[in-house]
Amino acid sequence: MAIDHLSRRAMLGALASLPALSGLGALAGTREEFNAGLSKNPHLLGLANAKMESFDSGMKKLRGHLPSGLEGVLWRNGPAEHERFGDRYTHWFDGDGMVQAYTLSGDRVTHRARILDTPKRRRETREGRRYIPAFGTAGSGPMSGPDDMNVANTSMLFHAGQLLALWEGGSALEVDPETLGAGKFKAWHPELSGLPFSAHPRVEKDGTLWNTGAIFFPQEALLIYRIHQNGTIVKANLLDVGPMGIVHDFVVTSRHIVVLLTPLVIDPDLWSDRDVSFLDAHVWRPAYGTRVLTIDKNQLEIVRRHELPPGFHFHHGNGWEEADGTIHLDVCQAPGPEFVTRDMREVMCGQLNFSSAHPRYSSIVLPPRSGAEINVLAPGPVEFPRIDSRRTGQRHRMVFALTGDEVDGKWPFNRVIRIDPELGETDGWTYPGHQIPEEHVFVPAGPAEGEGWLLGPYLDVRRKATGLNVFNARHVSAGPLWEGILPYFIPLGLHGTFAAL
Amino acid sequence: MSDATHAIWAIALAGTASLIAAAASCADLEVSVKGLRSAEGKVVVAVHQRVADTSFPDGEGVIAGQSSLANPEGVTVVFADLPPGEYAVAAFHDTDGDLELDRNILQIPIEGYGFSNGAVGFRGPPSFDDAAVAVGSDEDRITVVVSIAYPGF
Repeated sequence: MAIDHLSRRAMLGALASLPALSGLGALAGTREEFNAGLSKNPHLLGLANAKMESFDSGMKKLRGHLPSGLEGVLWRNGPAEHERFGDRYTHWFDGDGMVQAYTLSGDRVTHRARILDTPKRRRETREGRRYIPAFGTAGSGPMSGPDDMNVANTSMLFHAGQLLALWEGGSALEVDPETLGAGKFKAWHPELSGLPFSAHPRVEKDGTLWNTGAIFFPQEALLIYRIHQNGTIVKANLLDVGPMGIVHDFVVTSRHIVVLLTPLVIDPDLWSDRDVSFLDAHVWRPAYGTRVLTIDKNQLEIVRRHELPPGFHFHHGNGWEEADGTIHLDVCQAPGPEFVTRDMREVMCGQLNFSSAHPRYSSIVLPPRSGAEINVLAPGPVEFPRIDSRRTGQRHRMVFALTGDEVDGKWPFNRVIRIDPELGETDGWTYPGHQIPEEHVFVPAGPAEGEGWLLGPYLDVRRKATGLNVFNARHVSAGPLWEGILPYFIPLGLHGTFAAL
Repeated sequence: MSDATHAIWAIALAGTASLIAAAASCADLEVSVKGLRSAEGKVVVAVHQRVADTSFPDGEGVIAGQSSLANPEGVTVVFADLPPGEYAVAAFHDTDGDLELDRNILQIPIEGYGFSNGAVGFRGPPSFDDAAVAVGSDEDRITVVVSIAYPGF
């Protein structure tokens, strides 16, 4: 294990490292257990199975008018088959992906959703059982490469005219924009075929696409991609970054790519045991701190390293760089990984606790020659941050995200907010108690930052239906300009993208 | 893990037939390759014997190899006059016809492949034991089926 770049303090501290929380403890992880929980707490509906493999419907308008000029498609993705063949997964992120298209045209919104029938899912269908390993659930299937377990369930990307369903551990999956049918895995180059292409690529204003891929077998390495606006690969580089675990997101600046490696890292011994899931093969080694890698955009090589206190995160807002090389970025960071290693398992077992510390919106400064700093900007939990994507890699003053009151027995997010990354929360709107907001995506209208709309899907646990709100992104507190609802619900999803028609 | 997937199946086709000594008790090994998804390129089939201190299925254990035009309805090749013993069969669909199993930058195969006994590996190829078939002294012909699976399909 290459740890030569870690500080001496981290090396010494590593000796006292602790294993991450793993397994389900007293929870069984069965369908019956989840259903018993759901019968007591309707807020668990978001983790129930999708009722069907495919949905098509118009949205019924509940209020308001669709803004003129708002025409396009919001594609979303998320785990939706939490159970197959009577067998329930044990982590929110395990299930087969369902892609959704909300098409906004004229005064109508239509909805289509399809389970992505990946090679992994087709193998299980042929066998008549769920057996292939997942993110947080161990399995027994053959593993020739990461795509053997690719559920394509995390995000969507529309780039150079191609729609892709993204997962973190394997290739992007081509998806037909009209039918939402699953195509083949995207190979950016034969030598990169079958390798991870992460679910949070960054696309700059000129269409240049950057991404990472965290590889865990046959060796650990971080793959960096640079893709031209026309969809062809320009350059890729394989970096040895030392101990590594989940790498979910990153930022770009005008000159650099910045990747944060948390102290939740893969333990090689656990990872070689096929009875241990990918998530459970991680161990929490706080003495490693959070290692910050600054990578040159042209060479795709590491040019600077910083160290921050230990913390765990999934998502960033954005990054940007001053003329003197000082880098700024924001992150939704928690003190530890328990919200993913414990809470997101318990919720699959019918226990909606979310008792662990949630991510806080934090601002990071990386001076070119001195130590790094991180400061918490907002007091409550913050997740699913999105920016006006035209500001990618440039100084930004608006982040749209979800926050909440951390009430026991409820989903931790019930409010959509706008954050100024230099000031904190500046605007927001609270959802009714029976609605769970999902990621809100910014859609540009005018030229200024944040001049446009927010598309906010939500789950209404009282109606047992999925709805969609449209906000003026600069006046979120005024409430939705338009609200519509479907005659069915889709399990809580993860990320999406919008493309104008 | 990387050793196991590195340099696998460097199947030497030239001159291997002469390694097999014809003997009275020899048998033919018929390999039926199924699951090819197109007629593009070739099918390459290799018979391995156990070699100490060497990871299957690298080139060290290959005692015979053949290639044939790919056919989605199946391809059969026969290795004649194998002495009694244990063998493992590896095959791949050589879609570009270069007689090499194409791999990505991390040496993970990107062309379809399969092994005798339906042996499959876990983050690497299967072991020789998992793929081994016995060729006895009292049989004229042994038939082995190899199903090709395509990475990412």
